[in-house]
Amino acid sequence: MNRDAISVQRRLDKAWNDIIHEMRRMSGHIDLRPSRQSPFRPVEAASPGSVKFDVGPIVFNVPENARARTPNLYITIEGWLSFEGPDFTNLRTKDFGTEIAYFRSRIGALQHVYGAHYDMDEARPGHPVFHMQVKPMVEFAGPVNDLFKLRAAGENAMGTILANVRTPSAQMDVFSVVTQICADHLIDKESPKEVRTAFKALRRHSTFFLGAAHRLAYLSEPQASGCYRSNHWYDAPVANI
Amino acid sequence: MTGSILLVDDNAETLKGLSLRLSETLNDEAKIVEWQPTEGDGDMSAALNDRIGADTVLVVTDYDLTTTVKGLFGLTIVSWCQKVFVPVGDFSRGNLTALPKEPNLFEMRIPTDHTAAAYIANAFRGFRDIRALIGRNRPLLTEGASLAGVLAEVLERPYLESQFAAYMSRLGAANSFLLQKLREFAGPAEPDDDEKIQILSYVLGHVLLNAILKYPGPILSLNGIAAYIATVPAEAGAIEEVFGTARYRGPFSALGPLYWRDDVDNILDELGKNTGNQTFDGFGDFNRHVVSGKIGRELQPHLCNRCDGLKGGYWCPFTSRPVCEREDCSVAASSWIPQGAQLSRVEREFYDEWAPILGM
Repeated sequence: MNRDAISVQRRLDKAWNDIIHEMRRMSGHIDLRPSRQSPFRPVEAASPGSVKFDVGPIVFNVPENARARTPNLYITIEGWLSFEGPDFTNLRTKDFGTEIAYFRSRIGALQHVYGAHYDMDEARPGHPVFHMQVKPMVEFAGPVNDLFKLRAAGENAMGTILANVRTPSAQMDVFSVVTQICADHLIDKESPKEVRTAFKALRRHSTFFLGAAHRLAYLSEPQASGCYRSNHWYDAPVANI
Repeated sequence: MTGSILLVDDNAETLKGLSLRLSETLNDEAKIVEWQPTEGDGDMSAALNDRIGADTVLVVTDYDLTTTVKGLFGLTIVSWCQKVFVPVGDFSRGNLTALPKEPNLFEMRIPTDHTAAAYIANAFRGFRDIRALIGRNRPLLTEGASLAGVLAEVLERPYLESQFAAYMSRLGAANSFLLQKLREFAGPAEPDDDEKIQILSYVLGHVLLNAILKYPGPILSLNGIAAYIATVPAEAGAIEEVFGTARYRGPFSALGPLYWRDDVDNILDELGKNTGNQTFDGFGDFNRHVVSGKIGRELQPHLCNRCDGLKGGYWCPFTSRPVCEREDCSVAASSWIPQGAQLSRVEREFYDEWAPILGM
């Protein structure tokens, strides 16, 4: 790691701590492992002048919805995130990849109820720049067992899923995915003011870096940024030669 | 005069001696109240409460009080003080080996050597200052701030709330009297501002003294900062030369040199600007490299046969040595270390020996 990676990691760790703190304020029924070490590990970046971090595996234990009091859902996240230089004062996403797998806790089993992969692709025809692919990842029960000291068998409850459905999406990096977990499972229309305030603060703590769209002209032009229909997600120049 | 210290000892001579040394150390900063309990005092709990006033900042008690009152030990005084949320320290002359090495969160172990008076004075000033700081920020009492939020605010680092909060995740398990008091307030009892300030300063003072300042995280002790730059505490002079502007000067700062980690990081970032694309195995290597460059010589290596004392970044509170992230060197902190202590890890050899107890 070089000085840029060291400096960026400090900012990632600080934001992560702030986010987990707000998450705990949103609900007293959550747990997270590992909780005592950074989930970000610097690795060699593919392009010079950028810094890259592997993320996780991280496992959250949360209730299925804001009204439930039993945290019966385990969510494993793994992925990577890179930032472009040479100036890292204002952090800008280079690219990312995130995998997320949900397990419902059953006696002696972890029932795999949802899995998805998020990343970006600026080169291949037919690939929307930011996209999501739903796919079973029952093997992610491994980190749940390891980190929560369980001995539960992973059971695939997702059935047969078509592999090549790439739905255009937002930039679902690890911070975006955590925001989604909080939105789905820790807050609803009945949530008190303290929870809504914590959720707002949590989202604010994620704003310390800019998404990759800042450098994608075809997403920044008025007809794209004022429209948001998915046709713009396929306009990467390289993919359209 | 802004507060008082109650000294409890069954030996009149020792009581007088400590009182004199404290008076010399604190001049007129504190009123020193001496109490040699005797059978004639009647109900000991009531006798203690009679001597604790609104201005009592700290109680210091000897461990063994049985020569003047049958069956009375310092631990009983400690327990009674905890019940009324008055900070208390055990002062022991003869039973040191019988005491646990590390203090409980809501208790202080006062050294028995010549540093005792300085330690007591520092504890007194720390609790007095934290109470005054909270008193000057009374809106915090009604704004719905968290405990960590209050501490971050009075230390003028509001952005560190989440880091302080991680040290406070198990407070309820650490003091049942506190829970009981909160239960009373959930009923008809209504606390006034002074009562809230007393409880807040009691809790936050202990968390600061016994957890945040002890286990490296947002504030680094001399051991912590030495490990952070992969060297030994004997380099205190060089550390002060480079990081002097990062000194922590809040409550209990007389404990020894203490440094704000975020200020230390800013200095390291500045010093590292010329390292270009040079790569390092870990941030401990980077920190050591840039500080050595700044002082114009290699920092002293610490005692580690795995890396020849050149790596670090973290501190092991069990072995009191610098450790690094290498798998053969340390493991992530155990449940015995506060969660906020991000720069604490457990040395591998010690962990392997004690793993079941450490509860990893």
